[in-house]
Amino acid sequence: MVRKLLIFAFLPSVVIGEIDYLTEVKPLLASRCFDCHGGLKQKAKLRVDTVKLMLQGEVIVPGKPEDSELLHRIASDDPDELMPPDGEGVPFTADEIKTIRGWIQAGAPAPKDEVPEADPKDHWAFRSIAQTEIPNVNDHKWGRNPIDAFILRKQEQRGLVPQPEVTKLELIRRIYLDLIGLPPNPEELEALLSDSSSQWYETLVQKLLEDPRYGERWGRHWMDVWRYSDWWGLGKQMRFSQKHIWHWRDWIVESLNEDLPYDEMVRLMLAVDELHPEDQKKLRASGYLARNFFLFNRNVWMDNTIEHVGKGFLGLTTNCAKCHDHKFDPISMNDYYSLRAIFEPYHVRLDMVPGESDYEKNGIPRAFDTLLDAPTYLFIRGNEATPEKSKVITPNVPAFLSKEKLKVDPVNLPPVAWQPERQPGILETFVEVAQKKLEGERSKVEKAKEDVATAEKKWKELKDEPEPQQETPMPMKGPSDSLVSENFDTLDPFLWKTIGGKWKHKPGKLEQLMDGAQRSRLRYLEEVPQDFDATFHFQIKGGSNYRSVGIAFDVPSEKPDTITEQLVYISVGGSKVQAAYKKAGKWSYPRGEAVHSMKIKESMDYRLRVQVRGTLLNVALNGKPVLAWRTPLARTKGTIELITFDALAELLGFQLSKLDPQTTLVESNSPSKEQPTSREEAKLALTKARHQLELAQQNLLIANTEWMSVRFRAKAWKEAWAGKENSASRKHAIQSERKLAVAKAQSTFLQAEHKLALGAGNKKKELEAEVKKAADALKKAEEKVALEIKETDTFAKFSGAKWTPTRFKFSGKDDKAVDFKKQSTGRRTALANWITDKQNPLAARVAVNHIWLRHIGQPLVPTVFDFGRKGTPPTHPELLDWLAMEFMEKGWSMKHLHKLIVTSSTYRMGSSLAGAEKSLKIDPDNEHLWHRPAIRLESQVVRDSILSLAGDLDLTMGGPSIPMNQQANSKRRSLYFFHSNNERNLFLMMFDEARVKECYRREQSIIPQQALALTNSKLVLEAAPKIAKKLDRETDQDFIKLAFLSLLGIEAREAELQASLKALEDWRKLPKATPKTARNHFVWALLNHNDFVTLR
Amino acid sequence: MNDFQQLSRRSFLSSTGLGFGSLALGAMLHKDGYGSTGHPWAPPTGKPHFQTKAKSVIWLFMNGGVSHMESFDPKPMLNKYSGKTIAETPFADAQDPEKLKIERLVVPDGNGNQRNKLYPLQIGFNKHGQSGIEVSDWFPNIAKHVDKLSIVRSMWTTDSNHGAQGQFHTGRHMNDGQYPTLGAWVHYGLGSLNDNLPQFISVGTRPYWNSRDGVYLGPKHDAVPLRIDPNNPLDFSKPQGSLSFDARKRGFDLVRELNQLRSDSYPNDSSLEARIDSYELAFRMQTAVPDVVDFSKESEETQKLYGLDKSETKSFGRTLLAARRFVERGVRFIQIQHGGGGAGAWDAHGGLKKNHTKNSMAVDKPIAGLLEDLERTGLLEETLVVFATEFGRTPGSQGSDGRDHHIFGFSVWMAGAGLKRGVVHGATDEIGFHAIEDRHYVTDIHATILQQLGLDSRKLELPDRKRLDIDHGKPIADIIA
Repeated sequence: MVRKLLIFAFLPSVVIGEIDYLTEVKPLLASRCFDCHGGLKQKAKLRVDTVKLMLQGEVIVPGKPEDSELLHRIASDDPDELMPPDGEGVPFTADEIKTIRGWIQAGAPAPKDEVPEADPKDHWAFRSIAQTEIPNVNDHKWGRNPIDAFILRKQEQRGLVPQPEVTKLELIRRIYLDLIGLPPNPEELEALLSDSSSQWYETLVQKLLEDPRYGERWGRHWMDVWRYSDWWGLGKQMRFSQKHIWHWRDWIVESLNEDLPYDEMVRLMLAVDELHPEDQKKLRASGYLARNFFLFNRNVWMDNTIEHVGKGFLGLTTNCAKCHDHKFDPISMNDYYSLRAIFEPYHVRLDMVPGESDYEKNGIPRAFDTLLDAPTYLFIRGNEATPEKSKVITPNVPAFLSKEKLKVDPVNLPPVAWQPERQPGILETFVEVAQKKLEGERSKVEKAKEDVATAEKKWKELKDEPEPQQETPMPMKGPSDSLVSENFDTLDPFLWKTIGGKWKHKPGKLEQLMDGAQRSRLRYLEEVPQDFDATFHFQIKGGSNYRSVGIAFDVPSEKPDTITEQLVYISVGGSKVQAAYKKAGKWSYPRGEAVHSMKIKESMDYRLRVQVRGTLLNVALNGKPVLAWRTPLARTKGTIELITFDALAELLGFQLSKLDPQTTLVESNSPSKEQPTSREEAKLALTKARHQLELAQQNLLIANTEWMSVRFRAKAWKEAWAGKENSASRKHAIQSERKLAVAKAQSTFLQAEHKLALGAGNKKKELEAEVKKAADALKKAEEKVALEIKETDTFAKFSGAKWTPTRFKFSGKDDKAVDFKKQSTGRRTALANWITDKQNPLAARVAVNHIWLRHIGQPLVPTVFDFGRKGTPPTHPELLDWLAMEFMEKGWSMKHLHKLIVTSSTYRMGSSLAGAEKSLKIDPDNEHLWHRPAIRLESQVVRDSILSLAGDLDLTMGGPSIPMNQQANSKRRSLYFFHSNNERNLFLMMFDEARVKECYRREQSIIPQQALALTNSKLVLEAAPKIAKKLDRETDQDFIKLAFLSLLGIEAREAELQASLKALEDWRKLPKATPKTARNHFVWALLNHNDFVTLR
Repeated sequence: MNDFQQLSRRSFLSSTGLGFGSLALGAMLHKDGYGSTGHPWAPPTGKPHFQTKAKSVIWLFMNGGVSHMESFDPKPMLNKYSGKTIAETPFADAQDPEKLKIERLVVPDGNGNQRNKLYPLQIGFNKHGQSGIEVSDWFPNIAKHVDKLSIVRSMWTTDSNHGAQGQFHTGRHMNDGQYPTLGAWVHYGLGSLNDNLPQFISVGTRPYWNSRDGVYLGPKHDAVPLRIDPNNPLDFSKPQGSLSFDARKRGFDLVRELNQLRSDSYPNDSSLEARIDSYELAFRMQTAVPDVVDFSKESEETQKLYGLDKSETKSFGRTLLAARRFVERGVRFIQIQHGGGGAGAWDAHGGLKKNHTKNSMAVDKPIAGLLEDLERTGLLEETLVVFATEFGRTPGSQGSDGRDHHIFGFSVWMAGAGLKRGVVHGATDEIGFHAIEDRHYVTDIHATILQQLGLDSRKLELPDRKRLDIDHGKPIADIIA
């Protein structure tokens, strides 16, 4: 740019000769032309990626721009002539055309030896994985295994020196967090530190890999890559993924713990329904495909499947080829739709799990082929509205990666796959459910009988007077389990907020200094328990008239429009203690038990105590009971405010605790809200109870008949499946169904009669018609029972699976159901076998790169989902290949690979850059891995570590995802939390929680919200005291040292020790502090240390 | 109120003995993460690329789709031909299949239909101000400020379902994947004016698009979601357990000290520096944010101006009053969504009259109050107020009393920060069906805003994330003063 300007300034007439081909012309051509006229494609048999090729193609005539086709085409007015064609690139600007013209004019000078674009098939990732020799290195002391040789050789070539190994302490923390996602507890740490055997590390690695928590830790990694998501949608409508998808998560965790080979995992996820159609445990792997379900649009569903099979297993961005041939990789649109054809037949269903027949509660989501003949068409420009129907696309994999067409063999499925009710335990489940229902109805009948008895008794007893309430003395014991004990030494803004008035804080008191008839409020900002015991200590210092001070509660958090609230106050002007309430914005000051007249004086210490249970209030002033009253205003959720009205006052203290359930309050003598029932009401209740009983008995009859029917049908089906059809069983099955119909019709009839009997009124005619209709139906059902059973009669099937309905049509209803076919196309099996074939150049490389990234913190191929030509090439291609080969040769064992990586010297390097000025200069981006990158720990590790250190972590494995509303109190590992596009845990979100749509690599952000989460969350604040207790040591020094070791994996140095001691001392000086609270604060602070969330 | 506010940033820094971390203060949030040198491409410096007119944007987005004919683009012909099918009117060519081509297939849920029978305007309209621009009677208060507005009546989009909400913010159809929103680009491009507050804030529900904004720009450019609730304005801003202010403050000091002591062992560790800085912003933000939403210092007159005294306007009024207070404090981009529930409150498939009466009542007074308040405080000079929605509604009726989604023509208005005042730009045809004059895709709004902020979106591009021309859009020159 600068150079050009200079030329213009000084030599305007010689511009032409100064145009540089490599920096000015070639980039223009590369950006506009190479896609179609370069190494990837040669449209019109033309290449323009070197000058020589342009000359060969006769598109330029050096020195003669006017005769050069190239110039003509890029500058044409004719849209049919213009290059690049409409929609395939930005046209050349006038200046750019001028540049190219100038260059041709000048004779199209070009460097010698200009290299044409490489053949895309020669791209490193598309070549088969080669046996790689382990390189020789100079320094034989550093390395521990072949990985290190690859790493060190590159460093030696560049003059780099690996950073020193970390301390044993740091290594222990690193390997724990890396392999199981949890830090060692203090005992483990101590044992390891004192273990002086030479093999301590290898032994530890082995132990951790065998720990089931390994499967949870690494399962979460693969859940990122494989796009695990619980279902989500709009409200209750499931639009994406599936219910109970957690079965797939459990399968992942279990498979990793069993070290199921990676290739087998891939095969099962893609085609388990064809490979092991009878194995329900393995079928859980199919969640991988079930997750792509999208309620409304098959194309979105298919596109996601193709895109992420490509990115996840192959490191190929096939999705680009949806709308146009891939611009970088040799993937055509045809290839894209060939991949789609592989998935075209599949839908999703839930397979019933033995013991649970309600699909809302359980079921295994899995794929199955049903649209066996659905054609796949190429969509012109990727637009689903314009399919190219003249040609049906057949299933295949990208042609450039495979010498021959994908061989697809249809799979004949065993009956259990298309008659899922034949899975073991399913019929038994139906019987069990029927039996349980029967039992339920039985107990309902018992309950209904009791209700009738109670109603009868009440009706008879009504004349009796209720017994008088007994008085109990006012309890005077002090508040226990205090939530807050405030003495206003400071005014904590997180606890208190002043509203209105003029407030002045002095240590030990808060003064309200504004005079006049208005209210001033000190609002308590924490949650107030429903039943509480509060004591307010204050003095009234003056004021104009009323001079009232008191406690308001149930104050809604919404301000300023307080609509309801409750209030207890004392008033100098009114000479009273008063309970009052505000309803719909209007205050009421009831007489009677709500008020106690007494002299109230200024400048006198008052302690106003209010105990509340439900609507019952007990009020004491300076220890003397004054009120026992029931407020007529229903209790609502709200907070407490200490209020002054028309009063100058000094607020001196406030205690609040939950009301001890043991405490007996004095009952008010005011009438309770429950009105005695009138005889008529009691009679009506009795009638209703009797009807309920009759209904319950009818339901019991239905349940009983149904139970019989289910058993008969189950027996008949079992016999039929076994080829032992038995006419008696068949008869029973059919007959029992007919009887069930009678029982149901009877129930309908009875209900109709009841309705008529109870409240005919003006609806009499309608109700009579209903009764008649029910009677007719009952008659018909009864007649059917008497009919002879014919050969053509059938009995109902059981269903052992439920298709997940789609809504692809515009109907607003579920689409027409698909059925379970006896055959599967075998397409996905073929794909899975091709992906995991050892000849496939991509699968192993991609997997190894993912594993490497998560151990080392830096991938070998930075674009982890794109190994194509647009991706970034590997930093260590030989190492990648060596690892990939080793992986495959050792049976795709992930545990083998883990062990190999974590026992290398490369793994054991430190992350510090201290003393590395030289290396930093040579390789600032650490491309050659001369130091270990520091890793910001993943969200799950942060949360799980905190719970684990506190000894709180619940290590229960597997099962349904923990719903959002239970997460706050759950101590389970974070991977078990419900996690979808719409619902993600707030704490985890602060630390770059996995995005469910695409998460091949986690973000590692550092944002202020993380600081807030770590300082203020319940999680951290509850854990800190528990951790402190576990680190209990006599002296502060020892405590601090252990805390550093345990929480941060570092040894406290003298300066750190001194700073920590000073902090402990300062904390102890705070009001209400104890040695214990100071230590709790210290642990809380260490949890906020950078090293706590960092894996060094 | 207390020691918290007296603890200014300066005193915080000195009292905590901030060392090397302070050097990175100015660079906080904007510069970390792109440490590598030697790249030809460089991240934004935080400085505008050219002369700025606007410092801040208040972005008001009506979720669900406001009827353009019954707000800022009244169409009397709908009354004249009420009940007729479009084919029976002189405007039959509106449904020429060629003209309907811009619609893309989206999540099909039955809403993509053309609604043929013209539905009369459910509200009257009048001319206002010196400009005489017509505004419907559902917006009587905004109408008083019509001479401040630049109304664009010729918007179009391509997603005929509520994915258009995301599309309005990213410029991309939902089926294209996820892209950064306008606010994220602004945040990415411009430096901070106030280190005590997040520079990109989002208030209100976002029913139809992912709540992260930065996408490939990174999570640091996501909006910080806030509720305008004086009691809980910020997640985790208050200890969820017992921890006194003094104990906390001492803890922050210790954390800083310990982190700094470790920096000897970890020289050149940008993430350690960023962590130290982030604690500093966190500490300041947790009081600065609640301070913004503490309205007790606003006069009663001001509170009334925003409608805080009326239950129907209180909620949105509070949000807009907070927006002004954020702008005063230098927040760059305040994105406010109005109306949750379903696909958005304005989505009046049925009962349009009732729906729009209620919703307009909730926003009209507060928005008018905001415009007036910004004008009188001089802030309108450097603040851009935008009123937008994902699409318009069909001129024809849906059911007996509603209107369906309509993507071929709808309205947006902007005000302040160097825009023309009291102008209408673009037009739809006589029944409000197609934008026919000076048509604008949603990214033209983005381009106009970026231009006023002094940003060139092409200079913000990441080298491996080339954007299309349509992603950049073109500034609407006719409304720029």
